[in-house]
Amino acid sequence: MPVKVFDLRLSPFTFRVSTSHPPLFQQLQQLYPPSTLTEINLDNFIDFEVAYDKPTLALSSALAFHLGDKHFRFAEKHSLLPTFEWGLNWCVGNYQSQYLCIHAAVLEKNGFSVVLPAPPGSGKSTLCAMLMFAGWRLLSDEHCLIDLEDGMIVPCVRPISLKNKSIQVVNHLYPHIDVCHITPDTHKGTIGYVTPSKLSWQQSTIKVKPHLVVFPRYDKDQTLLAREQLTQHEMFMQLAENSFNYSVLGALGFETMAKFVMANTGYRISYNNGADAIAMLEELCR
Amino acid sequence: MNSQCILLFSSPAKYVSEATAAQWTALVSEARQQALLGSIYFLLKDLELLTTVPQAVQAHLQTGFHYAEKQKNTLLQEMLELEQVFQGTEYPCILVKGVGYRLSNLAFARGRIFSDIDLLIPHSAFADALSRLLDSGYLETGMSDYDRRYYIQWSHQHPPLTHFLRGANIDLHHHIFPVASNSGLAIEPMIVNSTKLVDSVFSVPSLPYLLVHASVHLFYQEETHKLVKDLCDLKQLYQECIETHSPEQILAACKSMHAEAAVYYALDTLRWLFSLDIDADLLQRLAQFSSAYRRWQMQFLLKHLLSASPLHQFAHFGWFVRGHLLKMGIVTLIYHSVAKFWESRKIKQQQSETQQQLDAATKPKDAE
Repeated sequence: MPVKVFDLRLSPFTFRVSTSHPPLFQQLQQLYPPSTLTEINLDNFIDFEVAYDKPTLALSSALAFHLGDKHFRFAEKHSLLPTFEWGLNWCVGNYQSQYLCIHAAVLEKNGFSVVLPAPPGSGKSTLCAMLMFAGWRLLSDEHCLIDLEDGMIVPCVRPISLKNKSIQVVNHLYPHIDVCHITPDTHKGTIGYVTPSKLSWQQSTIKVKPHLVVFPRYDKDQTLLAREQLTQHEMFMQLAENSFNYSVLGALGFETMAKFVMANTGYRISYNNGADAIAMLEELCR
Repeated sequence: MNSQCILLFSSPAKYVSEATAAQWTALVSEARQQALLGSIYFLLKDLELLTTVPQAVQAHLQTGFHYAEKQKNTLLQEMLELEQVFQGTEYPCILVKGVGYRLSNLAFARGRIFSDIDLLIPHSAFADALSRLLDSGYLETGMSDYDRRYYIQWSHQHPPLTHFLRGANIDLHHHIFPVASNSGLAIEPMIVNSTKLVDSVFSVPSLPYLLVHASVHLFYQEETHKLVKDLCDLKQLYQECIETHSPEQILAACKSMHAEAAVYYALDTLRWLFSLDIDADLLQRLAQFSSAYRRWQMQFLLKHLLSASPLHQFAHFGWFVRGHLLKMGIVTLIYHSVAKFWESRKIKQQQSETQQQLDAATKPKDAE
């Protein structure tokens, strides 16, 4: 069985991938810049050694994503790339607690950050992609990492994953943007990827101060843009609920979250037009 | 030796000063798999070596520390619940293994992760303890009829119990070793040599008895997936035991439980594996109970299990068969193997059908 081993050197985490499906490397080249996707270099420390293999003696062609003996999930041949990307998310969400990790997109413009935590279906990734196309720097589409010592937000730049109707929305609004590796029939529906902007990759190690937390909700029936300021305790509870490792960090998690909440202003917004939402965020970040 | 954890535990200062990036990568992967990140964090911290470790590695050790702290808090919460459950009992309720180490404040237990609370109750009070737990919401979950029968007839514990709300797992034991074996291990001395925790209904065996238990567990186990962790634990447990107890006290514990051979094999293993300085007189006095063949067999299998040798897979199988033979004898083992074979076939078929049904139900779109 051919095996390909390569390094994916992202910030702040590095991965060594061993796979029985060598074309994965070429597929990832469309999503990650050459400086991050390299042959293995044993002189570098690697955070996560992952295996993406067809299990020995398995009859089906499904690949299994593993971190050591921890199994993430099987991927059918047609959904290899999305499952790989989810596997990387799973490593960051479950096997690190050096940062307080919130399920949220993070972007920055002129030194002002906006954190967009939201459940699936709220339009978070679409808004995140639209902000990036409007010149904002992407820190992450998935993981808001908060430094436990200085409370700053640490970038974790990876491709933006768009689901279902978002793909059509982005294709329609930005015909020059390539949504690549569109994969139908995954367990989350159709998935496609948008690569981070040049600026986002260039500044992928630069932390940003907390400023704004916005819980977005796309609502096609909403005629006017609605905005409601959150109290600190509402913001705290909602962020804690969206966190992967708040409870693991115990008292330290509480302190870090409390400081983070106090450094931010929080809003809940409903919109039916992305451009309006972007204009509002730009205004709040002046 | 390919196990980076064993190399590190053998000689921490040397390891930290000489390890290459590739070794650190392998160490973090292995320690994550073996749930040893927290233990390594405390080991290096106590030796004031933590800050000399590369920053990226420190971050993972820190993660291990956070998980261990979180588990400590969860454990203390659960123990408060269990205090209520066993309130008013007049029989000994003894905490063994991980929870015993943790609650007797052993230094090496600070970074340890464990998956369940091991509770040892004298056989005569077992039914009462079980009904108290069942009445309090600790229930048996997802076990086949055969496995349940196996636990009750042949093993030394009830099928694992899980609290229906909190998810806490309890292993309720009446012995430390399967009743189907011919080991002749005595459990009463361990019960007698336990000390009550302050303001608690629970007791913990004294350190030499915890050492005997861990040695028996290591020597007679058939699983290999947490072998490195068990070995590193045992090393630290011995070191802590010998600091506060004399070799005579350890010997007395071994003798009273008829566990001299198991402890000999365990300490002998620590000696060659970690180059650990074991009290020579103790080792010699235990050696007479051992068999040269068993000693050779254990060393042979461990050497291949802990390295990427061509015999690695064979050693896995050998360790599995050896552990089962010690636990149940040949006749029971054959019966058990045939029964498990048929059962696993049946379960695989069922699981495959369930998985296919699940996939059909969740595909293609469950998220907008």
